[in-house]
Amino acid sequence: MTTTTLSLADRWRRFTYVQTVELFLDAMPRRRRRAVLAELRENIDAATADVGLPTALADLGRPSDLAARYLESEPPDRPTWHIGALAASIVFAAWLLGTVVYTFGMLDALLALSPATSVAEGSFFGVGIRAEAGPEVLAAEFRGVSWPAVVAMVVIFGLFSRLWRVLPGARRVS
Amino acid sequence: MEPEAPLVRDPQLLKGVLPMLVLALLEGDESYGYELVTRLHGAGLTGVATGTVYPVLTRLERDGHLASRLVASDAGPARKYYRPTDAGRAALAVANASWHSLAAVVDHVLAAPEEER
Repeated sequence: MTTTTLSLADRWRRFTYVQTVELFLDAMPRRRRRAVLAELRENIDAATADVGLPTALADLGRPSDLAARYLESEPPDRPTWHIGALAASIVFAAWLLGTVVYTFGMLDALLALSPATSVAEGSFFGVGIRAEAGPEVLAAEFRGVSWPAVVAMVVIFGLFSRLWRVLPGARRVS
Repeated sequence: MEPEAPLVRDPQLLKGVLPMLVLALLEGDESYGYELVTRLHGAGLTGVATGTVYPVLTRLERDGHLASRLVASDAGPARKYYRPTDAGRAALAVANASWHSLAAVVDHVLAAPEEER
């Protein structure tokens, strides 16, 4: 008989597996999704008691594939808000990282060019950047809104969340 | 005697008949999810995984073709046992008839000489 007392690592593995399935089940209505995930946890626990967690999870396959099988029989007419938010967040993080790197590049160039305090202005994707660097000061000031980044985030959010599904005509007739 | 070549099953073919097989096995004896998978393996469907069967159970239960009950177990958590409802038995009968009808046609076509097809 296989013990059902899971180690902390196994509990984490089960948690992350189910969470990943939930992420890919975003198109499923919330109440239905909760019911499916509750049943999945029961099935994982029962299988774990029989064959152990590693085998139980391996038999289930990749979380995305399992979620796809669950979704096959569900009306795919809901926007995938979580996926859209995640994709938009990645775009935002990339833009933020780019801005920070650009600003540090400006400050580094100022420090290298002159030993005295000096100022430089530039822009990165629509955001004005005023950098000031010297022996006693190291500062950056940002102005404006990065509209290209905003538009990119909105478009990515719309595409990845399948926003068109909110349109009445886009709903599947079943 | 030459050993038999391993039988490769078309996943799409299996996908179409799996709900019927699940209903048929559960009609014989109720089972929980993992036990049902082992029964399918025992019946010869060794390539069927839990990741394929669990969504089928969920859908059949949602459609009212299966009912379930929790049964306490000495070997772990309570198990959810599934059994067909009246609607499930009716669906199984329809699927069974459809399968035999289709199988008869397929057998006939495959058995006929090439020029008669």
